[in-house]
Amino acid sequence: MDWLGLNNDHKLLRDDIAGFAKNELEEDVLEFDKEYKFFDSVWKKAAGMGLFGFMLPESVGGADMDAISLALCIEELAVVSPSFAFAVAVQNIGAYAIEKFGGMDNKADIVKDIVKGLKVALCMESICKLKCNDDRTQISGTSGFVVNGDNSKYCLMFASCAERNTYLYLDTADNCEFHKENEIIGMRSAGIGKFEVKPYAISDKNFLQPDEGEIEYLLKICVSAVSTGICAGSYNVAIPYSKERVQFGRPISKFGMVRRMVSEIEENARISRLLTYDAASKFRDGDRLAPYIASVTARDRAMVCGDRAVQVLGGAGYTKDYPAEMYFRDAKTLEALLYSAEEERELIGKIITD
Amino acid sequence: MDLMEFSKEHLEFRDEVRDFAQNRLKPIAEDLERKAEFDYDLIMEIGRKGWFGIPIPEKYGGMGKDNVSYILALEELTKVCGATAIMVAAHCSLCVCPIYYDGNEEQKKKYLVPLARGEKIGSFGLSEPNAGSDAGGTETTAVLKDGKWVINGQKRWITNGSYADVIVFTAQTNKELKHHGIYSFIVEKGTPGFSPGNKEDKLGLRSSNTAELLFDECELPPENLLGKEGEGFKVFMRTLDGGRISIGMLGLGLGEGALESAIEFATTHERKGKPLIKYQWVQKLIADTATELEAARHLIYHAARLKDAKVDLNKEGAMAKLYASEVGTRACRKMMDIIGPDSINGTYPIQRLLRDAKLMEIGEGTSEVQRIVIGRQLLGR
Repeated sequence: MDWLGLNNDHKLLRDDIAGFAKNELEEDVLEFDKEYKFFDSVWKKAAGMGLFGFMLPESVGGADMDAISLALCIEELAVVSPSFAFAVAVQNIGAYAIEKFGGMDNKADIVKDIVKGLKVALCMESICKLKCNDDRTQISGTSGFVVNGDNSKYCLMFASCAERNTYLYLDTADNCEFHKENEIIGMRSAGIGKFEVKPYAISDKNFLQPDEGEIEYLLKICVSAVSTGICAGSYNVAIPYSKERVQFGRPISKFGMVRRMVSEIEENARISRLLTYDAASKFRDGDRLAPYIASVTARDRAMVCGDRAVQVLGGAGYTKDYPAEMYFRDAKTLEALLYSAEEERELIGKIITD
Repeated sequence: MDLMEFSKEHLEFRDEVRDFAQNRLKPIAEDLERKAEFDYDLIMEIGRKGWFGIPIPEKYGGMGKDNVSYILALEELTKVCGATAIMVAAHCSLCVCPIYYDGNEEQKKKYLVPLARGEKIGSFGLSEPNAGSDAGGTETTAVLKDGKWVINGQKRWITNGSYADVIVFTAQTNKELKHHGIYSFIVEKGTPGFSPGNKEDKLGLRSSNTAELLFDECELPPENLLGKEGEGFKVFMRTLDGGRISIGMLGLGLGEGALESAIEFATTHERKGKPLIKYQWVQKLIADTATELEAARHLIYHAARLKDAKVDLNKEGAMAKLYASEVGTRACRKMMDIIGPDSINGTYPIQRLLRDAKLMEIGEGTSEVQRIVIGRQLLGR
């Protein structure tokens, strides 16, 4: 075991995913970001590698691994493309949630579809604006910021349904229309957009069974993992640049203030990683605090890392020639999509003191 | 209440600019950003108002106002559109000012008057691919040949570069003299051997033009030398002292714009059935941000007043720029948290303000360079 508590299988998996991300995502990531494009062909390969069923039983095509494995995978993908990592995270959360808490008759088939790559979108608690009618037989409305919604087959929507707030399962073939977000600041390759749900008949089977917040915890762990990946990606762009860029007759990495920024990036990457794995390792115990603290901290640290990467690169960092500014924008997107740090700190304080 | 000792004239002028910013600029700012194109007509409209030469005496085509007025004008423009503000700031602080302070009478008549009157657009060519923070590492060369300066080299990250009619730029005349060998020159658009190059695709300020300048055997007559021989480095160092106040103001103004939109949002929206303003996390974010911005604003106007008093402001200008730009970016980031998810798509302009603000920590000397400048003043070389 190393300092993160990873075993050998974890390390092999990490190296595998890192190689996959580098080979499949790196070349196109800047162009796809500019064009708000989803990695469709890489998505199919990811399905082939089994990246969508990390925590599912083998009976539905899953890999039966732990939350740390999922976090590792999401982090390594995010190092190269935070957007793609976010979409893969949502796919895993969707599959896990439906398998564990779904009430649909054809649940096993749906889960198998998802593992094979048919997309499941997620509209999370912090943003979903859908409401049921009073007798909980119909839902309609429009909600923005659905992640992984582009060409999705299924959707998990957090909805307010007669005093009961929970996730609802919808088949997007029926009465759902997706409108891609074309002006979002970051996560532009994560298939984020608006979901318009025309009157959609629902029954008890559409409701995911009460889960004591498990979906939320898994989401927070994954978002922390994406954030950690942003920190590591920032590291990967800032460190080589600082060693190559010569000013005042020497590489800027020889200057104290640049070294300090480089250190900040690495400090923050480690803090995020430790808290992410801490939360992931406690997932099965249902620990409430760990995922909250990881999510608040890691998202904040990702923002710092993206910012520092832009700063190390200076004028070059402000341009789209390097991914530094993409990490900065992607990090800000994660800050905005879930409850903000200050808001979440009030919740954490409540959990601690109540 | 604003007790910052602005005169009636200051406030009247500020209101004039505010009126333009709110009514003319604000409605089109998002569109400018989307198109990511320099709006020549808009810029010339601003020029016709005289705002290209606010702190320049009337006899040179300016408005004859002080630097505080100039900074007040930038504050109003920035809150609404950073790209327009930086266009004006680069023109005025970096091109008009060095010609005014260091140009001879003939240069002032020829270049300063039309620039200050708003008939021409100005730019400043200092940064190069290999000379960013290390401005003394200028590689563009100027060689005196048959009575003419022959210029060769490349500038990068030049605001207004593609559109400027008049450009003040630096070139190395004698590498052995290091920064003492750097001279400042003036070049006009259309001069043979000089042309703007590629445009940058940027994180923010997308409707402001940032381009390369290319010099290939470009010949300039001796009268295009700006300032005395061997004082080119001084010219641009002094230029930057003043320029820093304007860039600091841009960072601050963007933060102020973000604060205004967050307050507007918080007072008109609810979260989970409770008005946002009732949440203490909202109160805390607003209070902290407003306090930081207020402190930054004092530093900025203090530096502007020092410039009006014609005293050295090397340290104060750097402090103002360092603090205001960092506070500005942080303010944008934090204020977006109050608006929530809608802060990151096109619903509100605040995400543009954040992307714009980040440049203020980089342009005209990064935060790290400002710290070096301040440190030198306090610790010696």
